[in-house]
Amino acid sequence: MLKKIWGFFISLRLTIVLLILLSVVCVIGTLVPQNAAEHEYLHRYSQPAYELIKNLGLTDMYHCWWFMAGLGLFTLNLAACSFNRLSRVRRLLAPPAQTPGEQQWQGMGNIKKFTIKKGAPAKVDAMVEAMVEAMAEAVGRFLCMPTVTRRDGKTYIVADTGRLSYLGFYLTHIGMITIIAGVLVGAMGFQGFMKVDEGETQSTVTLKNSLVQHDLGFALRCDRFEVSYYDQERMAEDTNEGRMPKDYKSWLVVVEDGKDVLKKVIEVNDPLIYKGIFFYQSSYGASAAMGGEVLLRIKPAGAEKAREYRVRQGQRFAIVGTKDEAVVDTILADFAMDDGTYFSRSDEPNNPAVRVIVFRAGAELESPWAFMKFPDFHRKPGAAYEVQLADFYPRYFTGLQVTRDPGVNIVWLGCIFLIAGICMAFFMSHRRLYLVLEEKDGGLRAVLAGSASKNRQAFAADFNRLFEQLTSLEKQS
Amino acid sequence: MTSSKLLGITTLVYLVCMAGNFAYLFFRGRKLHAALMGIAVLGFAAHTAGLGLRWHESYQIGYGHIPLANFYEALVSLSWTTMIIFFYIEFRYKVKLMGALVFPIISLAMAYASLSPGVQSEITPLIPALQSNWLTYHVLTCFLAYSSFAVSFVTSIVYLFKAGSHERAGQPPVKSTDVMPSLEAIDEIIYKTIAIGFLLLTVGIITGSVWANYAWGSYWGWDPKETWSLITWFIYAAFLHARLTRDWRGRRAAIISIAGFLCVLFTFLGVNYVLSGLHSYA
Repeated sequence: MLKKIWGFFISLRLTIVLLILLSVVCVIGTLVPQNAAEHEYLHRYSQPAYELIKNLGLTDMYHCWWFMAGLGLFTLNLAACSFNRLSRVRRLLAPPAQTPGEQQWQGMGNIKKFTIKKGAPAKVDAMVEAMVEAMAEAVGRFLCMPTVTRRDGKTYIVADTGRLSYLGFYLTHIGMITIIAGVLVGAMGFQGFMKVDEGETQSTVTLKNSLVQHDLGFALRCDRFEVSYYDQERMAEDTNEGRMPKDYKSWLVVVEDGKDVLKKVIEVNDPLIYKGIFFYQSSYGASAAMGGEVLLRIKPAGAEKAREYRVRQGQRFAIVGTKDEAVVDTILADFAMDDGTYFSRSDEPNNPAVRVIVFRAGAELESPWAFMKFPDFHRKPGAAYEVQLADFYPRYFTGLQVTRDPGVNIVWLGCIFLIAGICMAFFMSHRRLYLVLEEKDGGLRAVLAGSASKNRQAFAADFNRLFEQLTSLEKQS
Repeated sequence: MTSSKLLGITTLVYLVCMAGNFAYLFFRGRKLHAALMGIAVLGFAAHTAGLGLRWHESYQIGYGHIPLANFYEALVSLSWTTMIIFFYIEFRYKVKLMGALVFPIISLAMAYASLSPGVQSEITPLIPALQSNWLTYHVLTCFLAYSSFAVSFVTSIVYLFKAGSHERAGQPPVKSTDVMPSLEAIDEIIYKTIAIGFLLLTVGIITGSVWANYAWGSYWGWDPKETWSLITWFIYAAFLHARLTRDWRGRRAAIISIAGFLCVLFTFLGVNYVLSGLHSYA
């Protein structure tokens, strides 16, 4: 019974069935949206279909129990196969016989017997030297130097290289198991997201799946945020999605026990690392706290010139040359209007707008909107002031992806095993050459045998070339 | 000389190579083959220069990135990596049939890239997430893998045709006029190109993970492109297991190889057009 179970786990059929099953299941996972909002599913599927999909775990398929079970079975299969072949690999890796008898060379793919009549035994040493040289050349001098053994009147020359290729499949499988182990260790870490407004300090992260607030044990301050854009004129005309950011950076400071302990300017592809926690630049936007400043150009009706005011959100200021006051009531980065209510469509400064309320003698006089991109839009005739939005300096927030993954280095180690294993398994060949010389009747009887575990045609050609070379040695001597 | 002009010339040279290699199937001759290889090397040189020049042009505009950023550049670069795989197989295994198989795909890809109105050939800027050296390592290894699999795919189709014609003829023809190498030799090329492609795909997926971990803080996210590359990896892994431990050869192996390449195609094209995710810009 145990043997049967073991036989099941080490079978190739299980491997192939699992590979195909996992592939099919993964296809389903790419067709059904993962971890989407409920209304998105209901938009795509009917209510009963959605219930079914949800109960089957297809809405978060890569983390549901049966997908995990499949991966677990796959891992067991990998581990069992590796264990099962341990003794065989040990045998294959054993060093070659130094004095191969007929048994050893009989099974090899290429065998040539020949005799060298004259010259021996006086010139045996010189011959052996030349033969070692020729074999070293044939096998690859840098990979292996042939060994020479003399016993009972026979001389054995053995060249053996690439035995490690048998280890390749082993290393590949160990690599896979190591990667899976690394993933499991990584589950002890966390992934989350934090938004820090410019100038603010924050010490909690919103965890990815549970949305729980996680305390970091230290705080992070964002001193500054900056975004630069590609040159607009170069852009194709049909991209009306606004300017395309070229680069964005956050000036971050780690604050621990009230002290600044680490400063770094991070950008995409260059994270901040502190105590094993990685902070990645992931997004940005105009702060939802409606911060920011605007440059207003206000001209009283009938006046010659407009005057500029740089003011913050909520700031009350006097209009120069009059007794009136004004306040910046609302700043929107991307103005939009729906059913009479206005809001910011996005965090991008695509359509900056400002509403200014003008007071005369303490009472509201008028409350014009001004749009940076449409200076003449929405102008009321007979208004006391002409207000223009000359510039907009949003207060940004920086969006940081926060990760602690204690398993990531184990995963990389597994990846190195995997690549090395595949290289060894497919591109290294175990090549063996035996040459046995026996002195007889003043001459030499020779057997040359060779085999390769891969690319046998090319090896046979090399083998024949070596044979020609060895037999021509006789003529030279 | 602009890069698009150079790449246009390249396309013409490859078309000449395609015609020449078809002719070679019937006329043979060592000299003809050497001449064709010479032309192929010239075409490849123009191709390389064209890509280099485009790279240079992108710096002049102020974008400054390797030409691996949009579909046009992907097709031209994929053709380039396919040429590298072609040269490797040609010199390593000396199968003189490869040219007739490879040049039709390369010429088609190059011609489609420059002629199709749906493919924009302008140099476009890179979003910040893609501004990294890992772009080069990741995309280049993946493209080399795709190219290897493409070569194994065309070879598999040739195998099926040839095996089919043998069956109809009853016995394999042992004529010297047979223009193709033996079934065994074709089978060997399928296996070799898949082994090479598998290694490159593994490296490609891993470099992608390393990069994702560095840019987004997660080495694997089950993004559709990632998932499909894993599916492709699974299928070729199944092929290699069946081959190495059960000695699956011939027709069955050729069919798995074709199925594998359909997955490659979906990973490269389908994911971008049908599904969406982190790779939707590519």
